[in-house]
Amino acid sequence: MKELYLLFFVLIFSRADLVAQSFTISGYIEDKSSGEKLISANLFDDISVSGTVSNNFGFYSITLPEGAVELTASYIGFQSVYANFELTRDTTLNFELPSSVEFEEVVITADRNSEGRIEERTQMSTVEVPIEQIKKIPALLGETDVIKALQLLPGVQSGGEGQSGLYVRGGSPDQNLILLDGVPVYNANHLFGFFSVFNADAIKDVKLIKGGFPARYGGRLSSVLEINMKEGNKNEFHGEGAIGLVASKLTLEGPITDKTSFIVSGRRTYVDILAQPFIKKSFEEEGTDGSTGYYFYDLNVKVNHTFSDKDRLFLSAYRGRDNFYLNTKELDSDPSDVLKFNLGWGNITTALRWNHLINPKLFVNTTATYSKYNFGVLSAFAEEYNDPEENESISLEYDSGIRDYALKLDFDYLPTPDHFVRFGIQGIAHRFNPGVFDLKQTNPDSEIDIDTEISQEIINATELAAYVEDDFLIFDKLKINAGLHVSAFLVQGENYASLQPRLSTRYLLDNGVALKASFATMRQYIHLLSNEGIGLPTDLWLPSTAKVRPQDSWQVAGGLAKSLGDNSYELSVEGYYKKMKNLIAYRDGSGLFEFNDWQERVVRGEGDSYGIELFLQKKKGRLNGWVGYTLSKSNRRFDELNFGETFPYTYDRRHDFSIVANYDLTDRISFGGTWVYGTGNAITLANSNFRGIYDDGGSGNSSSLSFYKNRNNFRMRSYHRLDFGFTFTKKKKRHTRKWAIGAYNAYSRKNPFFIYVDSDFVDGRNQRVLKQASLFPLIPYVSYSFKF
Amino acid sequence: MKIHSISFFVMFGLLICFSSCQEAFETTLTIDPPPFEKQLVVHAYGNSRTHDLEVTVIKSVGLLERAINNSDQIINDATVTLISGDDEYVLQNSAGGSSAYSNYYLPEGILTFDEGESYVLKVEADGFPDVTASTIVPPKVNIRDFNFEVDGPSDGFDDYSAVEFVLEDQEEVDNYYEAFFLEVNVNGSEFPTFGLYSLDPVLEEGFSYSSLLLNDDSFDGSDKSVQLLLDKFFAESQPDVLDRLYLAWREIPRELYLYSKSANQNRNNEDNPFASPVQVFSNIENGIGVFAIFNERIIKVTD
Repeated sequence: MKELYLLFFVLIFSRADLVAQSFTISGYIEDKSSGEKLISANLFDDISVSGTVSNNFGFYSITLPEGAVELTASYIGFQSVYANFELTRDTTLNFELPSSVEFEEVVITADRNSEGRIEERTQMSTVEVPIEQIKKIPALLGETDVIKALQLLPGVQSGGEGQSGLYVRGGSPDQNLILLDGVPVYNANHLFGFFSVFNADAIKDVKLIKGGFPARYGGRLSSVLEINMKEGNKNEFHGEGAIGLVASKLTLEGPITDKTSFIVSGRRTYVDILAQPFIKKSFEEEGTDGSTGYYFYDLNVKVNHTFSDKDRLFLSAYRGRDNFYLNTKELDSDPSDVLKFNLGWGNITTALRWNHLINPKLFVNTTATYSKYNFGVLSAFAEEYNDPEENESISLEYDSGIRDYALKLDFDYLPTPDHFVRFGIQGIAHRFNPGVFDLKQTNPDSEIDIDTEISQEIINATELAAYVEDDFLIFDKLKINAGLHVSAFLVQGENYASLQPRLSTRYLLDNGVALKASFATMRQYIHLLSNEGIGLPTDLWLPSTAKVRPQDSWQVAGGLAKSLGDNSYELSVEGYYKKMKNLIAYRDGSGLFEFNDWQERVVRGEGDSYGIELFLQKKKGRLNGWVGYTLSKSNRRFDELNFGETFPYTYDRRHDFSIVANYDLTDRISFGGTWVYGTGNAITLANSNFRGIYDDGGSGNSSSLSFYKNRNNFRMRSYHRLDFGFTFTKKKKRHTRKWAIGAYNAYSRKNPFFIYVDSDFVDGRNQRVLKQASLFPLIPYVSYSFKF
Repeated sequence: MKIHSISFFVMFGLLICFSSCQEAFETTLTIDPPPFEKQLVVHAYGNSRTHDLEVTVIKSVGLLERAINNSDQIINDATVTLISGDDEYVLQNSAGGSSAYSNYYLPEGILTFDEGESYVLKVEADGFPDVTASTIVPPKVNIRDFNFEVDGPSDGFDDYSAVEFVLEDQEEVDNYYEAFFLEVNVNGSEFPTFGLYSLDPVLEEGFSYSSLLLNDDSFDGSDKSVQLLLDKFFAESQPDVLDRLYLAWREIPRELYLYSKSANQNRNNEDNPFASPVQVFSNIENGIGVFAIFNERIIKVTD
């Protein structure tokens, strides 16, 4: 073991020892106009031909030999900034990058050798989509949606028509670690999955990792989606807002002092408010006082304060909630029937982050977080008499959810340009509520007074993790990212522990093509017990327990990557194989709202998926977008399902194709279009019906039964859809306004949502027919937005 | 530029006109059902108490047809053979009746169906591949301390009368059981009666509406105290029926346990869109259904 440690340190410091006299240049790379820190911006020295990238907080550090340096800081969408000087001591240098002049092709000369090029990066299976590009993609009812934009990437699928779930490389939605400013978001859906909880106006950066996971990430099997909120403009007060068919939103940001800035962003639907007078009138016509409606809202707040070049503090919070309600009361009646129904769910996340520069080579971020998701249903009925003592009532309330407190320390150490070492520790205190029913009944006549709580056991668990990784340039052509993630989970007296080695490599071929390969093992201690495909908020987050083991996976991937056409294009081809163990699913016949122990309702199994992904992306220029294609297969096997035989995963999709294009026609008009195609989902449909006969000791009896030869034996029709939209932008004296018009599902393809047996009157008699229901035909949209 | 803008708004207007067509907004579509291949459906139950074997041979129907008890779906021209070692017994057809409850039978007394014996059933019918199934008669298990209490437990909503006994489960053998109530008339005819309940979570609902199933996973090789319940109201209000009430207790083979449990779940989930579809277990090769021979005893409840 000692030898291993020795080897580790020799490797890390090897190049440093070769440099006789070297100094460190460190600082931040930021947007000149807003002061927003730029994540993964490139910094390259032309003299030493070495470079680095900024971290999640815009911080960079590069150690170079004494003497002349010619630094170039660059970032897509910004003009490069150069700094030439004699390096004679450790230097702090902040780069402020001006925005590119609109529609003018920015030539980033340093890009040719920079860390930013796809062939330079060791990390594979990673996609970053600029938020401005996401905003230009036509969306359902004009509501920009980050998650739905990601569904257009190869290897990523939606669950079904209009759904916001992410199915990454054959994994399920619970296997995605969705981090908003470093805090896990458990349910990323609004309106039963038709919209995601992320308000694009408050977002700075989106990154999705599908495989080859660096050691700093853990806790999920299939992907990491890292979403960082804007920090708030440090220089000027600004605002932006939109009025759409679904929701309206407003974002305000600006400086509080010269060292403090804020951003507040809110979004709310308003159909319930607008429709309320009509609904009320409709109820009154039926002799009832009532109201019903549905709404969701999001509120993002972030404040950051710079104490010095060495210390910065960020406080960010998110709250979002969905609510459906129905309240009625019979008028002019004794007794009067009173009905109350409420269905609500939502997330709260809070993060306090402290950046501290220990020395120019060592950066630490300390994060304390709180995250909560809960789902609740209240159903109550009462008979109210003129004499309140005679009132009768019955109510049933259900509540479930998850709550986390977490603390983590993440260190970035850059001893030489050839090493980017990250290490850290994390602790999470989970509290799982798998479901509590509260039944209350009052009936004075029958002298009934019930207040009963039927509860699944509340489970507390502690999750601990530590990691170390190094992005290491071994020689010019070979670079690796090697790391180890260690985790443990303490629950109900059971201790689970796991060592998860991670390795990504990049080898540059002579023709400039990068050959990449990766291996990652992952462990997930929490499970989502879900009715597949429905995407209801009733899906339950549950911990691993003594009976239900953690989920495990390993994934290998290999591929080629190259930048093309003056680095305007990135092309990658990747193949992968992923094996997953200890997946859970509902036992045959089990489902929602059962009182028995959830652990008795689940079965354990395994899955695998493999495929090839092709991705051609253009991030800049008047025409930008991407083309993606995935050929894949994904299976599941459970001893107690499908008689132990392997069956296709519901979201097994053989072919998945998408094309996304944004084109700036003029400086005021832009066009966006997407076309997607996917093999239909696999569903279980009866092969036939038969009469099941049982021996009951008498003359016998029978029931009609359905015969399912195999699980997921039927393919729905293929899915394809064209969306397009135009954006008209006009700069006014004090603000910029934007009209967006377009259409979702432009040729009104009847895409399958679910299939059912119905009766139709055909040829003079009622006949049973098989029908497919679709959700969204052609839906035009229009929205208005402004920015000041 | 204005011309550009106007043209785009005109295009959008046309789009809205187009979208107002009813066809464009239709959201349901009739589709073809998956290809259907008809199969033989065989249910064969042998009883060690009555020494009879009753077999029903019908056919499956397409997804869009109703599986109903009618003569179109009953197959009366099949050859049904029971094989025991080197001996083969061709079953008799029940006079071409239209009842789907049994259309082939082995007359009583030809075979006794003793524990441990193995049997193979073969069914041949025109237009279908031959189907076969095999089963082994399960071992008999002793029960003792049988007792009936009119004043049994309550679940907070209903009061029950209770039948209690001790089951002497055998070690290292996977045992499966089924229970239900029978009313035996003075002329000897038997028919199921009363609902059977239990507060014991290891007892599960069977395919027969009033039966409960039990497997020995949680008590293998140990004595198991069994408490079976009937509604106290019925027990008290129908003393004549109570006097003719018997508990039927069966040791059943694993395949019948799996069939009965999964068929019950399949039926219960038919109209539940939130539950996963349940596949019905079958031990009929090339077909659907179940072949099982069980031990049965009936015990007078009030004795």
